[in-house]
Amino acid sequence: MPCYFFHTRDGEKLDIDEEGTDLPDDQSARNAAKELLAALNREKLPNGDHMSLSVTVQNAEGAEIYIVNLRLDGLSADAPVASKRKGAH
Amino acid sequence: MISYLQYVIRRGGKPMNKQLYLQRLVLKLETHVSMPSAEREKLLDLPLTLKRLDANQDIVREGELTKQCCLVAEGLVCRYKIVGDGARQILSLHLPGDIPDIHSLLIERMDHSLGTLTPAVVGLIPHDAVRALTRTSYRISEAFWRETLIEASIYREWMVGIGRRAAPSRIAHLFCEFITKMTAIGLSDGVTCHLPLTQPEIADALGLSTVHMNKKLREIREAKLIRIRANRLTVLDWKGLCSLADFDPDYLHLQPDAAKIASD
Repeated sequence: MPCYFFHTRDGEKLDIDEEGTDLPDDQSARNAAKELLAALNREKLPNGDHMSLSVTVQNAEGAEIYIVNLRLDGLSADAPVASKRKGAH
Repeated sequence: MISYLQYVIRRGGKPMNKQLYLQRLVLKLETHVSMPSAEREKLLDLPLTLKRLDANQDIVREGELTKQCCLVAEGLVCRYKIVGDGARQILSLHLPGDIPDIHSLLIERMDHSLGTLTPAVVGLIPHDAVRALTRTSYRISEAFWRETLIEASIYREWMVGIGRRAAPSRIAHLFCEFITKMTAIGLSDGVTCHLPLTQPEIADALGLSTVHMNKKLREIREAKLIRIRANRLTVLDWKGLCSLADFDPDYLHLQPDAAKIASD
């Protein structure tokens, strides 16, 4: 099975995967990247209202074959809101 | 001390020793309760049909009816279930001396599968023989009952892990549990042990994806809590690992002698 490397970025923090994981093909690697992103998101959720995560998949030849991003912005009701809909009852 | 897998290899081709394997059963039961010598003798007299298995081979499958139970003599065995989309959940890990399907004595149809993770030797014991033994000895009957209760306790702990612990904690917990159980049956010195699990297998036991599991395992190694090299787990910082794992060995209900870990 080919080896894929899953580098992650959490805000400014970059985590380089030097070991890699063996997976059947590119499609499995893309799915694995999305799965990883969802799992990391779940781990990070309680820590704040803003988050930006990304996973980059690199194949054994060094080519980046897939990038998946996730951005989260939580807004509390009492926080200032830029544009409020008018006329809603 | 040699690992049980090295032991399998070293014994390759030679006649297998039934008495030795039944002693492993006694040793396992005695990690939870001491046995009078008369009961030990009865256990050592159990009839055993030995079977050598490759890695990733089923011993008994979900849905099958069984008339015998299986003593793990050498190697690592797991209970597992396959869900609708083909993913595997490993439900429990079983070391030499375990009888993971002892409950089949009373519930004959398997509601999960039992299979090997490494090359293994198993000893098949007819239900009739186990039933006869439990009828002549309430101590042995209670010992088997206790085993199934402790199994349930381990399931509760795994449920807490999969439901509520973060991935690094789950992984660390599996290592703490594995080395504690290996130490109890004399296959580890409490610091280092043979860990013949692949990363996808660990991921299947913890309900994680392999990529997620690899990333978090790397973090645990970088924090210098453990070292894994050539299927050998070495604990570098037992307190740190237990703290990350939220590990308290009480749920394993080990006798004081069996519960000693050299690295405290």
